[in-house]
Amino acid sequence: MNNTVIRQKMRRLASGEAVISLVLIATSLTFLFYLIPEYIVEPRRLQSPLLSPLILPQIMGWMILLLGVGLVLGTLFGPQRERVEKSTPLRDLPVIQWLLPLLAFAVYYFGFEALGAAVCGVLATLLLFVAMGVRHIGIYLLGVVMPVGICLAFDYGLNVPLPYGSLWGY
Amino acid sequence: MDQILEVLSLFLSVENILMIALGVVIGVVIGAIPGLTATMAVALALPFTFGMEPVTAILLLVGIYKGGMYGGSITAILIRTPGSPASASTLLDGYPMAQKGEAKKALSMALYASCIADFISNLSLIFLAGFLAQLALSFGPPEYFWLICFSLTIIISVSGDSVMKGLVAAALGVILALVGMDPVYGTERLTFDNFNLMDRINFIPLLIGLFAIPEILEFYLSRAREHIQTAVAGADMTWQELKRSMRTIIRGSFIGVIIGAIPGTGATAASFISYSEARRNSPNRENFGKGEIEGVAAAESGNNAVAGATMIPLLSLGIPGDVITAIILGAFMIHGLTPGPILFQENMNLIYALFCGIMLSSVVLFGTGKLAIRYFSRIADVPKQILFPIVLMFCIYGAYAVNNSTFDIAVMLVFGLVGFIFNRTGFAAAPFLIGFILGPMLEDNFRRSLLISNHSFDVFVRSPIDWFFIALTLLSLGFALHRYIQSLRNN
Repeated sequence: MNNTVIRQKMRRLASGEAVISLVLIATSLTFLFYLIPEYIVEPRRLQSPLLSPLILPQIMGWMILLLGVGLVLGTLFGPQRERVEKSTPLRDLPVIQWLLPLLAFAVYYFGFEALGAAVCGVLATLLLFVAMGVRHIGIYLLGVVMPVGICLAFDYGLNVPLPYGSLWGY
Repeated sequence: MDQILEVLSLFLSVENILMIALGVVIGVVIGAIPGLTATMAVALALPFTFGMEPVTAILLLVGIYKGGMYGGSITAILIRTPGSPASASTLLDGYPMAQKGEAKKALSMALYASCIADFISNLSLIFLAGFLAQLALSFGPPEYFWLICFSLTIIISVSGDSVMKGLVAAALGVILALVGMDPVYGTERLTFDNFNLMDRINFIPLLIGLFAIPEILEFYLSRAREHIQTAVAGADMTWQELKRSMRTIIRGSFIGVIIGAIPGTGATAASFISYSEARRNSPNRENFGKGEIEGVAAAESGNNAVAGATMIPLLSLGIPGDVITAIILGAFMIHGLTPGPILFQENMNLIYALFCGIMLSSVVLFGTGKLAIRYFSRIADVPKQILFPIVLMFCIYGAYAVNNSTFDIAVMLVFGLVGFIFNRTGFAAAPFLIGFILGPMLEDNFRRSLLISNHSFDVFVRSPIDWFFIALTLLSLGFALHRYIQSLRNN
C-alpha cells in the first residue's frame, strides 16, 4: 500500500461517516459493558437463561457494535459517497434565529406547569415569529389568540385539561 | 321479510345516522391533532353512550375509530406529524409529496385508499368473519413471533440509502422500547431509578418528537429567507393515478384484513407490511420514500383495513383485537350484550343492523374526508414561519395530554433531537419506530413461547402457520439480498 492510498484511507477515517460509526462503537461498548450490568436487574432465579431480561438488550448491543464496525469498514473500503448537506451549518446563522427558538423550547419545557399552557404557548409562538422576522401585526395577534383558543378547546371541547399555571394560583 | 324489516327498524333512524356522522367527524378531527389518538377519543366518548340504544352507541364508537384511523394521515402528509403510529408509514411518501406541492393529491389518495380498504374490510367482516376468526384462534405466541419476525424484515425497505444504518436505527429503537419493568420477571430495565421510565417510554411523544420536531429544527437552523415560500396544495389526484394504485390498495386491504383479524398485532405492522410489499412489487420502487403516490396508497390501505377486521374477533369470539375494540367490548357489556357466538344466535338482527351501520360509516368517512381535504389542504399553503410555531404548540399540548406530565414534553424534545441527528447523519427514522413498536412484541412472544413449551424450541415449528411465516421471512430476506447484489452490479 503506497502513501497516497494510506493518506486517502486516513482522510476517509476522519470523515463524518467514520466518526458516526466510531460513536456507535463507543456507545455499544458502554451499553454492553456498563449500562447492561449496572442498570438491568436479573432475577435471582431464572427458569431458563433464554428468559433472562438481559438477552435482547445484549443481542441489540452486539448488533450495534458489529454494524458500527461494518460501517467503519464500509467507509474505509467501500465506494465513496458524497453526502448532500440538507441545511446550513449552525455557525452561519444569525444568533437571533437559533437563540429564540431555543428559548421557545425552554419556555415550553420549564414554564409549562408554572406559567400555564396558554401563557407558554403565547410566549413561545411570539418568540418563534420574531426569530423568523415576521412583521405583520395581525400574525402576532394570531399568536396570542390561537394558543388561548386551543387551550380552551382542549379543556372544554375535548375534555383534556391543560395546566393553567401554578404561578397564578391554579 | 320480517327479519329485514326488524333490522331496518333497528338501523334506519336519524339518531343512528347522525351518530355515525358525528363519530367520523370527531375521529377525523382528533386523529388529525398530534398527540390525541382515536383510542383517547373512543374512551372519552364511552360515557356519553350509556343512555343510547346499543346499536347507536356502538356505531358512534365505530365511527370515531374509523375517522381516527384516517385523520392521522392528514397531519402526517401535511406537517410530517403522524396522528398515530399507523400513519408513520404514510408520511414516508405523503410528506415529500406535500413538499413538492402535491399535498391535495396525497390527501386524496389517502382518502380513496382508506375508504376502499375500509369497505373491503367491512365486507370481510360480514362474509369472512367465521373463517378469519378460526384463523385468529390458531395464532399462539410462536405464530406471533414469526409474524413479527416477518414484519421486521420491512426495515430493509424503509432504511433509505443504507440498510446497515437502518438496522442500527432499528436496534436503537428496540433498546429504548425495553426501558421499563420486565413483563415476565418484573425487574427494572434501564430505568435509572426514574419512576417516569418504569411504565416504558410512551410512543406518542416519541412519535411526535421523531418526525415533527426535526422538521421544525431543520427549518429554524436553516437560512430563513431561502425557506420563506409557500408550498401550494396543488392539483387533485387523477383517475389514472387511482387506477395505477388500485392493485396496491387491494393488496394492502387484504394485508390489513388478515393482520387486523389477528388480535394484538395492530395497524402499524399492517401499514408497514403493506408499504413494504407495495415497494417490492412496484415498477416505481426507486421513487418510494421520495414522494410516490403508491406509497401513500399502500400505507393507508394497510392501516385502514385493520379497523373493520379488528371487529371480526370481537364480534365472533368476544376477543378485542386492540385497545379500541376493548373499549367497544366494554360498550357492548354496558348495554347487556356479550359479543361472541351467542350474540350471533340470540341477537342476529342487532348484528345485521351493526353491519349496515358499519357499511354506512365507510360512505360517511368518504364524505367527511372530502370535506376535510378541502379545508386541511390549505394548511400546505400557510408559510412555514407562521405554520411551524403553531405546529410546535400542538405537539407540546398533545405530548403533555398523554399523561398530563411535562416528562412527556421532555421525551418529545429528546426524540426530536434524536430525529434531527438521524436526519443529519443519514439514518432513517422509520426503522427506529418499527424497532420500538415490534421489538418488545418479539421478545414477549419469544419468552411466552418458551414458557408454554417448557423451554423447548420445537414450539417454534409446531404448525403450518409457523412454517408459512418462516418461509415468508426467508423469501423477504432473500429478495432483499438479491436486490442488494443487483444494485452492486449496476453500480
